[in-house]
Amino acid sequence: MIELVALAALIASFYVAWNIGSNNTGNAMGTAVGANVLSYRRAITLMVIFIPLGAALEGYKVMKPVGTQIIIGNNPFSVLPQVAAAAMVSAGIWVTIQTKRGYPVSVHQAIIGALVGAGLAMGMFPKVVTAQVNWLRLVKIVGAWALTPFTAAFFAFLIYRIFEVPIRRVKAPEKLNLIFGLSVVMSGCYVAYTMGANDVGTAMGAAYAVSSGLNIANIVEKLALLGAIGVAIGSLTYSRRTLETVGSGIMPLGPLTAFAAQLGAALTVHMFTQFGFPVSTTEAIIGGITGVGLIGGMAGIGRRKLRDIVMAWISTPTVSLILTFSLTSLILLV
Amino acid sequence: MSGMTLEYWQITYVLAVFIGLLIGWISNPWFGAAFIWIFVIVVEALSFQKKKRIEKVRAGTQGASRA
Repeated sequence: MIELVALAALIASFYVAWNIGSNNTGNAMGTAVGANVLSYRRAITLMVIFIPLGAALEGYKVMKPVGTQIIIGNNPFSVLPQVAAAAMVSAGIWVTIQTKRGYPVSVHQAIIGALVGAGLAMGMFPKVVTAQVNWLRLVKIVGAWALTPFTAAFFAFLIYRIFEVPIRRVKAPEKLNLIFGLSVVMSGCYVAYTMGANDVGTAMGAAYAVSSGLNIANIVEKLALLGAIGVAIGSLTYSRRTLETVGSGIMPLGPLTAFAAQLGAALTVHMFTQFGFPVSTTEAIIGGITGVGLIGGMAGIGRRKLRDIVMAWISTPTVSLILTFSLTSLILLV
Repeated sequence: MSGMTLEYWQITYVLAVFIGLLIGWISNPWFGAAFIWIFVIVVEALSFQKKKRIEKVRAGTQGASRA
């Protein structure tokens, strides 16, 4: 029985990893492709190289059982691994729908929404398992989510303004564009690397919670590899739509605008991480692009697209929560 | 806008990635990852070379037709 549950958790985790690759590739390479610095094929090739690199070198460091920060209790997901698998699948389904529509959303937020749903449902059955949602922590995290796009927009706006003036005086703008283009590609590779190092741990959390009981050699490294391959396959097979949205859906990008948006997003994510808040790179990059777009007034920004993306951000954790709550209640009742 | 229609290179890489997973799972995760990197880099280098060659030929024929 435990093998069957472990297999289900493994498949669910792989599915989440695939979702990360298909939806979040745009975060890493969207600006570079949008600014015509890289072709789609080259961008994906870099992803396939850098994601396993991050996973192999650092992926095992962040591998921890899913939901340790959000759910307080006696390791509920190890006791009920089927709930962990259900939460992962619920989080994945809505993200897949958003990917199909071409909207970049945060897989992390979907997972947190799903975990809260699972925690609420488990709280109703205290005889089976002890679990409670850490509300204080959750409120802080959601607050950081709401602030992310605005902070990134502000930073990107500022960076663009700082670089704009000296650029006008440069005599060889092509060379400068090359430098900005290169830095966009390099930071894209860096984001791909962190996707391997960080997001793989998030995706494989459910599998890790279950498989720690089984006796498999090198399990953490193997799970990191499996997660990295899931992300790479997602990136290879289904990332084009969200990548196009990030690269050209909100506004047309050039090397400098792409650079400012990406640096603004990176600064924001790094800043929030220093305070211990997991924020979304997706929201940061979309905020960054919008911030750069604001330079020319709202005219250059695809407002309808932006509104739809924000709606997708709000719906992602909410729908995951409801779906997981229903599934977990069903599992605990049966 | 193509969603799920995969090009030839994408299918090749998906297969390579799965083979990398198999190698990694059976032997050492590092070997699996190394297989993927080497495969992808070699394919890209070959396709880059091919592209260059085609460009060279094209430039040659254009030059000839102009002459």
